[in-house]
Amino acid sequence: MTMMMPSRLGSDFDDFVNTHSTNLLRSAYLLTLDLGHAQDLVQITLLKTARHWSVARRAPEAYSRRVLVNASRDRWRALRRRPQDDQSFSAQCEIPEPGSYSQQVVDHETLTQALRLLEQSQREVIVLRYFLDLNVAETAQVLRVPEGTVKSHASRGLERMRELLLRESIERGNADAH
Amino acid sequence: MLTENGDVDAIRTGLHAAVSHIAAPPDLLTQVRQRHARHQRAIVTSVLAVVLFASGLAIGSETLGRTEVIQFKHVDLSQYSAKVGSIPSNERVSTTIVLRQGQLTISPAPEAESPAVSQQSALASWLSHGPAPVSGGAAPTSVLFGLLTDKEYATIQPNGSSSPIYVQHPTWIIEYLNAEVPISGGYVPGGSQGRPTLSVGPLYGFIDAASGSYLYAVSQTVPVPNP
Repeated sequence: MTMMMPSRLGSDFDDFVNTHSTNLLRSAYLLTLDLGHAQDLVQITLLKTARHWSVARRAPEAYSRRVLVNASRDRWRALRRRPQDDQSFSAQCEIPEPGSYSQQVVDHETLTQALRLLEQSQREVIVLRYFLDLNVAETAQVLRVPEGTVKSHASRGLERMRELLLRESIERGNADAH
Repeated sequence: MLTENGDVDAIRTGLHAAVSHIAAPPDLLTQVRQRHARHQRAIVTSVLAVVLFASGLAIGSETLGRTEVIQFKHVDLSQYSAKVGSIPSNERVSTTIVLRQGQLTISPAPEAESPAVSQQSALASWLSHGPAPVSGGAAPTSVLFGLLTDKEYATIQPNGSSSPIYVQHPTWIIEYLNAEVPISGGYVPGGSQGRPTLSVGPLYGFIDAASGSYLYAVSQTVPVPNP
């Protein structure tokens, strides 16, 4: 009689978690822009990675990145099905009033707000390309899209971010002038 | 932050700066390992339930085997109550039974709670699922109505958490206090040489009190050294 036995997690899994969980959490935060959701996603990601460790251990970073993106998409789809979250999402999309925070906080806050205003697919590409520093081919592999799609999303995403950040920069300059 | 021409480096730097204050909690690994362990236990429990369902035998913690003993034909069903609904107290669990270090409990049902199938039907359902896994006597020690809670027999949610399938579930419990379960085949620590051929201990079969369907069975039988 054959029984499915639990997979064993060795110290290499612990090393992986200890080394990469912060980066995973930061990536999750940039994908979701919600720390609570990001923490949930990282736990889900690590659990799924643990469950398939015999496969994942060959390239745990790449494996966990893909799991994280998929989990993030699941969350995105779930939120879109909930009208109350659509409303809260719209409310969150407002750029904060210039001068209401310290310069550094405004920079960080503005950047994350700009990310928030991107389409989900553009945000994924921006995070993978410019936060995790994956190349086009690696990004395409994680997202399971053609490289051309990665390039176009990156281009449009960057352009959109530039617009948003420039607008904020101008508004801030005007506020300072007064 | 950006000039009109803004560049990728600025965005790259900005992204890193925006999350530089975020760090994984120090107990993350512990949390993940605990949740992973719970998940694995749930898998094992589910597999055990399937195995029990398929073979109709009891499993000790370290033994697997198939019984060849067929004694249930000696059970006289007419000795068991055919009453449905308000059943007497002698057909009810009177004190809580705790198994698996508290992971599984069988507790008394409130007086108002009654089974939709009779004691007799429940036992017939149990017996119809294969050979009673006991030698030397087919009749169970008792057939009682109670509430089943099993924290380990669970389904896994998409987010990794587990939710028990049976919580205070109205159930007929077929109890054998000293079930003798023959062992043949399966893994036994220390090799097969002179390994035990019998395990003894409590065995519980669970029948849904609403539908009369077989749920699963658990046992805590312990291998007995050969004479």
